[in-house]
Amino acid sequence: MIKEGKFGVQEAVSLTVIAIVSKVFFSSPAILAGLVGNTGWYMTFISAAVALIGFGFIYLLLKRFPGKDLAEIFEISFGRVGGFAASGLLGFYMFFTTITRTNEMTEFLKVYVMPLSPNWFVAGIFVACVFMLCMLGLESMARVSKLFIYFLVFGFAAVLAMGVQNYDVNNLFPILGQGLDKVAFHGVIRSSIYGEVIILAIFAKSLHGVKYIKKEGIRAILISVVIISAGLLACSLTFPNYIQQEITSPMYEMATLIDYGRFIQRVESIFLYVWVIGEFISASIMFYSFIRLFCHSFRITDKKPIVIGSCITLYALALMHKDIITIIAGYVAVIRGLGSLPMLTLPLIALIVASIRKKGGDVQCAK
Amino acid sequence: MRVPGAIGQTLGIIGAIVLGQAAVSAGLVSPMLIMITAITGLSSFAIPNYDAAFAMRMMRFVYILLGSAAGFYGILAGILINNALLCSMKSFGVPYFSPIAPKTKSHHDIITVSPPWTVKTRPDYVNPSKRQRTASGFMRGWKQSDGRDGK
Repeated sequence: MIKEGKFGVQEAVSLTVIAIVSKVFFSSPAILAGLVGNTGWYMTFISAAVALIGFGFIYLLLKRFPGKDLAEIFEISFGRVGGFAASGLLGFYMFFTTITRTNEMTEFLKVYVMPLSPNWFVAGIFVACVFMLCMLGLESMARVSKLFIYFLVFGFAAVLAMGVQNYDVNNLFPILGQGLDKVAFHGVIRSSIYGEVIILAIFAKSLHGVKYIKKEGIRAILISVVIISAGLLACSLTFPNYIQQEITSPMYEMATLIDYGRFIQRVESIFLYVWVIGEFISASIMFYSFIRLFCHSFRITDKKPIVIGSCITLYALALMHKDIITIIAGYVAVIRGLGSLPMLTLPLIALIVASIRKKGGDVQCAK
Repeated sequence: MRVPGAIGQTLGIIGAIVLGQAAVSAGLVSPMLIMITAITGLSSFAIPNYDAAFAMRMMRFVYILLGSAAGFYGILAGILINNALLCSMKSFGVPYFSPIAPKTKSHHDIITVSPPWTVKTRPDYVNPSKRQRTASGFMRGWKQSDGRDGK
């Protein structure tokens, strides 16, 4: 049996922040540069605001059903079949996200770090790490994220600070990018970037109550928005818009440009450390969320056999993509565009249905 | 090697320098490898606990294998798995990495240690039966000498 255990506010915030922030290391800055010009760094505040509203609904839902996690709430709100479908949809999304992250990681490592290594080898190590973390359980995952977050934030800040030599304020202009309407539209659509905050609701039973979940969710989104905005701002300051669109991973390229003489140059290994560790933890928690939802849907108590089987499926599916363009323009675009539906809208629908069907809250307590 | 103990140290240093220099000159190894080996050897003496030093020595071989197989990526994977295993370990019910992971209340001695008279509660991670260190909740501060005891 895999022990889920309990963990505190700092562990939960660390875990959620790593899950959210690790996306910015990949193609997101380049895609955003194409969509909204140099305005990504403040567009993300709109996304965070929308995500905060979405998290508000998640909080209201959890408050209505104290002591229950999201999968149980879905079952009470929608009924047995409806709950199964809702948990299944969310679980499928989590699994799809894990596959995409494995694909992204594998391809980006091949582009920048290990061009001669075969795909199966790079993906194999990745899946092995995900497997190990999932076997150790949620509590260990939360603790390891708490342990690493200091190093990750320090490494990220060091890369941004050392990149100052390449910053050019002129790259930020035109300051409104391709128009405020586009900024607002994509800001709302891409709120899914903060959607990982839903893991607090999936593992609500491992946290210390609804009051703490509210605190953890808000803190996680606010810390994430600062980190993501700082990263996007650094990219926009370093590269002109037309160049940024063409780079596979602008943040990695930014790290390679750092040069302070013979002894401080090419510090991308610091960035690689932040990148790889962050992605390992992020993919693991998404995968574990899928396992949790899957086991709940099928009433399975022992997660270990499911972890083994799902890891093999993950590895097989991670090798099936055609090329890097399929991932960036296909899978990632789908996740960013539609991700807010399962992660932020589904809890809202559950809340409305629970209100209509008079489930949970004061109504059930009165009975 | 059977040599008198007094010259053993000298022999080791000369052997290392001459062999290292010869290996680099012959192109068998790179200068960086010699530097890393020397730094690793010296750093291993910085671990104060013998058992921990022994465990580190064992782990070094795992990291060498990972590094040779997958480079820095492999080492990072090793670091993550190693730390995750350490985080899941407990010794007599106390998490191995406490009070950092998990961070517990009422204990702030991580890098610096608070003055004893300010620490009013026992650390949470040891699951104490009584949280308060004294019944009244107050600790004795520094006592100022009145000078009558001749001190």
